[in-house]
Amino acid sequence: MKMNVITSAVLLTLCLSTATDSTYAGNNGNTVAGGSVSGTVKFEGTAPKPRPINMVADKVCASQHTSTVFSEDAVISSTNTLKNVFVYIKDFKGTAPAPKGAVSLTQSGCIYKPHVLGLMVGQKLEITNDDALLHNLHGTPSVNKEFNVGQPKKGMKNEFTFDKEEVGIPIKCDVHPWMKSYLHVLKHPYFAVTDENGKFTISGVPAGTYTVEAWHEKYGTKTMTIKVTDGGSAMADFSMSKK
Amino acid sequence: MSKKFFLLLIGFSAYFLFGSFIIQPKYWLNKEENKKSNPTVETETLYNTYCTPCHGSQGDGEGELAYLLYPKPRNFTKGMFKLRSTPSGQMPSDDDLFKTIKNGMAGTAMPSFTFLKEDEIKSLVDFVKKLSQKCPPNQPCENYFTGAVTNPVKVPEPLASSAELVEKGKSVYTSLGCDKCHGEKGIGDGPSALTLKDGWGYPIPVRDFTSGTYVGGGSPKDLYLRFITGMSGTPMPSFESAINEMAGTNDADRQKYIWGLIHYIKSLEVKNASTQNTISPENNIIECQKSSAITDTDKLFGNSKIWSNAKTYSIPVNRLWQKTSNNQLLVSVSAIYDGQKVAVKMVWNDPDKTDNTYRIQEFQDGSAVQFSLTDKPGFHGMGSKDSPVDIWFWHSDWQARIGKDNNQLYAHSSYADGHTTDYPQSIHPNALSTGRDAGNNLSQDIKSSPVEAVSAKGPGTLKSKPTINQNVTGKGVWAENKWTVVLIRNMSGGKEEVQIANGKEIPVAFAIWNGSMNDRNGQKMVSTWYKLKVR
Ligand SMILES: [Cu+2]
Repeated sequence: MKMNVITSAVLLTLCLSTATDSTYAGNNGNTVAGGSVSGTVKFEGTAPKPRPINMVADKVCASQHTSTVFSEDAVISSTNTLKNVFVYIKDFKGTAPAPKGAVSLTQSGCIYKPHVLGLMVGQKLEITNDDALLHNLHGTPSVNKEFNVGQPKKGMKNEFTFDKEEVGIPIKCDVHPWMKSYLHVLKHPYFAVTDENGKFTISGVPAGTYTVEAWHEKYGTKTMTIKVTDGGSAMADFSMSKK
Repeated sequence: MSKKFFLLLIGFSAYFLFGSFIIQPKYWLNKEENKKSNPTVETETLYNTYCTPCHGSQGDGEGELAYLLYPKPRNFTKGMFKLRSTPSGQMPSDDDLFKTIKNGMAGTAMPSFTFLKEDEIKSLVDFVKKLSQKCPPNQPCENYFTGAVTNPVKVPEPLASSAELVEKGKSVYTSLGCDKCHGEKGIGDGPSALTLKDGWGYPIPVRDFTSGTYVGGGSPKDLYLRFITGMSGTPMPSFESAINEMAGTNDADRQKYIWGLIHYIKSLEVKNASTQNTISPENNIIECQKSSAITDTDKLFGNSKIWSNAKTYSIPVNRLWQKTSNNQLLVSVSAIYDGQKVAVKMVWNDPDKTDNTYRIQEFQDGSAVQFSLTDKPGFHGMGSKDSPVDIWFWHSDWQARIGKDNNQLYAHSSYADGHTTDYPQSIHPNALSTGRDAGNNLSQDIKSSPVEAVSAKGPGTLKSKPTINQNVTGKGVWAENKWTVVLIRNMSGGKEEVQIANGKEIPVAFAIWNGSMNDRNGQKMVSTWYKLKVR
């Protein structure tokens, strides 16, 4: 169940990107419009030990987990790939299709699911509380406006939208200091989040030369220049390490 | 240019912070010259006088006194303001900012500026809004208020409190999870209390509801706004959607939940016994009443008739460096004069008397009255070159030392099993003791008065007067969990001392040190400025 939520959210993000394929009429009305950017984010060096979360401050949180919950601030696979890296086209200047549907973030077992989320300017973000206890949704953007809403009841849902582009908006719960997630708001849909194998794919990117940035809350950013052709697939492999 | 206005420009004395507040007289004089051509110069002057010491000239919260304050002064350049009547995510209204400046934030270092005129406060509101901008490198600045929508929340008339409503509120308190931070009993000790941080990553104390002190005012309507809109830059969220979820579309239920919760919270307040039969100073005026002759200090305590004409005022003092609780205290103040002498009485609750003079790990109780030597005092600070202050500082530990010349015995009584070395003068009264012999008041091991007369002319100039000029006497009596301190001086003072005469209105402020709360030096509780009116 837990897994499902995470995967579906990642899928949702990816779907968002792929769904835009058809909306993009490429140059000269070619049948294949745009190309894809994909790759893997590797972690270089010795992976830090997963950090267990101590939920002692709230017994109800702890009671929802049968095994130790680990912090998602650095999820590194056995093959040294990094999960939860936000990869996006940094310098996309064209017009992008309007955002479709809403993106959702869930608080479940006093953990944010997913841990990293991308969405577009003006797109709806629905945040739901799956726990029967108080969480506060405290977004602390530096470009957009701060918000802080209490959700004391199970099933409560609040909607938010962002009017400005901003990468790396922290969302936290003050009641449960371990709860943290990151939002990334862009004017276009050309972004993805790496999965448990450190892989990502951004589809339907209009042909052109771009700077792609990989953003991680702990290991910072890496950029790379790539060339996307209609029907082509550009590779962008990154490696990150302790700063 | 009237003399009064000139004084306004150069007047920066302020209250009771032993910090470094550097002023630049030349700068101010230039500003005065520019005033006619530029109407905003006056506002900037006001801002620089009253706001810059803490909030910084650019509003970044990095004023010279910021290091003495906790929580930190607000950084206006982040566009977050604690007290709003507008929904979460909106900027505050002009009225919100006006009230914040006018009323201050009780229990914090932000004083009330009721002594400023309404249009002065309004112009400060505009100035603060102007500073509330983000300036990314190589890009134009963006003001948070430009085009900002502010739709103040309508506050309905409060339901009257009843036992039933309070009971309801108690269950709302728990079901909303207020106890997670504010604690089961509302004393601010919930399981999440110690991990809370403000918008800048500094730890932030949780409101202790038993204190009855609220930064945004303690009326039910004030609490309604804090609850519905939250407090920007703090962990306190908006509970608007939560309460809508609970009450559904039933407005009567909604009202019951909210006002029930607020009345429940108000029911947790513990009343302050020392402020019974006191009044709030109207227009910040504390009347100094004519009395019969002030002769014997001891006769100024108990039910002394000498105070019968004097009004007793309730003066809030706020802790500059907040602790988890006890951040505000009400001090009862009265003042009398007999034509020759003037006496000021301060009474406040303090359940732990601390006047130990030897154990350096302990701090002592104390209180002080500060007079500005110019008409228009400034903000926090220790006065300035142009606007010095005269301070009468009563020390509980000095009082404990009066008449005790055997230091060794005294040290032994503090550390019963310890071995202490004798001090020179207790072996030999004529032993060389340079500080004492040079007339340094602080070096006198034998105290004749528990009151220290101190003068200050700005940052780092706080100076105990030479022994010969120590002309303030007084005494403190601790009984029934209260300190009563009386300070006495001749009405006419010497050079650089306050002159108290019939008909005068003298800016005055008060400070309290609570030793058991580890208050010392700049860490204390202070009041804003009042006026001592001699009549
Ligand atoms: Cu939470």
